[in-house]
Amino acid sequence: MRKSTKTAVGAISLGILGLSYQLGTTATASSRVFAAPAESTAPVAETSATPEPSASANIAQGSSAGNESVNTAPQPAASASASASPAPSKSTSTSGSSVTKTGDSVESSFGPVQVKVTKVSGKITEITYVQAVATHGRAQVFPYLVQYAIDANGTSFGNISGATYTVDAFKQSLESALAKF
Amino acid sequence: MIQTAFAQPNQRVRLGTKKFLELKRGQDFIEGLAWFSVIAVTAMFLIDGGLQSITEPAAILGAVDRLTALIATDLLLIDILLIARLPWIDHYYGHDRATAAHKKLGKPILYLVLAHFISSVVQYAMIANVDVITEFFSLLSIWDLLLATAALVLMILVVVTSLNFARKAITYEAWYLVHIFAYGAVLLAIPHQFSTGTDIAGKPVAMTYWITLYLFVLVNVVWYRILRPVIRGVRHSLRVSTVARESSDAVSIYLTGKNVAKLGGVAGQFYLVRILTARDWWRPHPFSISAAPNDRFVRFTVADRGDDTRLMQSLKPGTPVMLEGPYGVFTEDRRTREKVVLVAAGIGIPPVRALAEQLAARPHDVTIIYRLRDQNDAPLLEETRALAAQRGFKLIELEGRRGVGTSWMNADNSGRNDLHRLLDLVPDVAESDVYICGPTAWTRSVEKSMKAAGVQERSIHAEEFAW
Repeated sequence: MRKSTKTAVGAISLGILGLSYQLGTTATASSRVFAAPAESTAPVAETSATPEPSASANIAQGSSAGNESVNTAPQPAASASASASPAPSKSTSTSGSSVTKTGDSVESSFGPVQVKVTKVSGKITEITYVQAVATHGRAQVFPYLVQYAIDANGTSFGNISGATYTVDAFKQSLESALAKF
Repeated sequence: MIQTAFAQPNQRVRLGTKKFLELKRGQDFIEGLAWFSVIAVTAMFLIDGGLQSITEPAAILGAVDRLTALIATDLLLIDILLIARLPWIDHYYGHDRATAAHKKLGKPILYLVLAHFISSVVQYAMIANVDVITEFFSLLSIWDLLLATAALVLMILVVVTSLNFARKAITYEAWYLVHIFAYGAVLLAIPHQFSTGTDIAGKPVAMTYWITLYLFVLVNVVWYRILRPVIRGVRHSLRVSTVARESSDAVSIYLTGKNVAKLGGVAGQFYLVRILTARDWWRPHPFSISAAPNDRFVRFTVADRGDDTRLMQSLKPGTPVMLEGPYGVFTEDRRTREKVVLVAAGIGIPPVRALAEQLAARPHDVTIIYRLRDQNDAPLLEETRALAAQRGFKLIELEGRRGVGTSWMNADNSGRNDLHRLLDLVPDVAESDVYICGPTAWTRSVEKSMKAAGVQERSIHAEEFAW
């Protein structure tokens, strides 16, 4: 490359990278790398201990309080701490606009994932795990996934680095559940 | 067999520095594109909050792992384009420069891929809170990561066999076979990029970018390396017509077929020649044409160097042959001046002999310097003499033993150095374009004399058979 071209290319590159970094600071948490040392092969049941993004339980409760719809179906505690033992409850729509459907069980490289979704007037208000197994520490992502899915009202949220397979399985199960609405 | 029915030389040639500037502009454009492709993947990583994601040790590794993977993949695809002998790259850089750039990129790419591999495994081990070995084997149970690991092993093999010390130990043919694995390495690594790649999976812009890049490389490689040679092979159905002895160790191979004139190409270029026999079809050999393109035959002149060039000495007439190319910028296209000096040593003569036939020139515009051991055993010497006589070119034969030290001329006992002798032989060399073809060390030595004599760097054209 000639010197003048090199200078111009260098300046433009710096500009692009700088701008990208700026845009990155406002980026959503969608691509955050999850990493918090945890017990290596934890089935999901214990993940309620996870801090930060409020597990779906809070969200679900908050919104169901906002909407007067009442879930009569007994929800197995807070969804983030979904019982590893599948809740046998059939997807039952109850009062008014609150509808719950169960997705397929999807086998990821680290274990099966299956979700149950509750929608209130078109919006996802609650996601609970029917099955949630992710060995090798990947189980930590389950509460985050619920949060992201509720925020995105679907599966259009980014990956979580280091747990792609589990994320994919979650998305597939969620998609299959949403397809039933 | 001495060829004396020479082809018509070019009637016109475009000279001047404008041509040179156009060339530079084209090169800057291509290099700029390559550079910005790296910037683009880095920018996508940054926009995605790649740096903000760094919050703890494992996340630092996560960022390293992602960024090294992105840049390595981008560079790897560029590296494939560099060696794929694409006409549009060849036109701007020539085969030898593209190959040199390809070689230079190989090691950094391997280092990036290794960094990606190590940071991935360590990162996952930290997350899973197990030791690295355990984590590595648990990752291997995932099929696309298993393939990616195989790709890494292949890549190490390719780079190691390309290191200089290994190069010397193995033949071109063995090296070529190993290098085919590189394509395998690229293919094996693809699944895990799209299935687990944080920066690709579920990101439409990144996904589009990468698929486009992969397709671009695929289309270029498949078209220029496979489809076009095969189509042309069928269309021209070239066969060996004659193998004629030129000297004690060199032969000329004449190929004939249908529509030979349509093959294209210009003097100074080379083809990758495949001998289509069950045993030899798989490896191509780079040979310069030793006669200007014409409508009767394609000719290569090949000296026996012990490797596959020995095979060429005994080709049977009728053997089918496939050509890839023509390639190379050792051509009149690069000429910017009226005066031309052609310099060849030994079996470097073929492209020089072809250029002498095709160059647009008035008598006295062209000087040919032929460095040879013995005029009774020098390939294409008679032809070159006939050409020079017919067109009024000056032919200087530097016959005999080589001069002392790094001299590129013959020993003449005059005690004068190459520069003085050169200025005596070609007084106007500084105003000339110089084309040099010979062994690498010899070529360097000629270049040095030429620069010392005042030849501009941009007017020195050298052809090396780099592989």
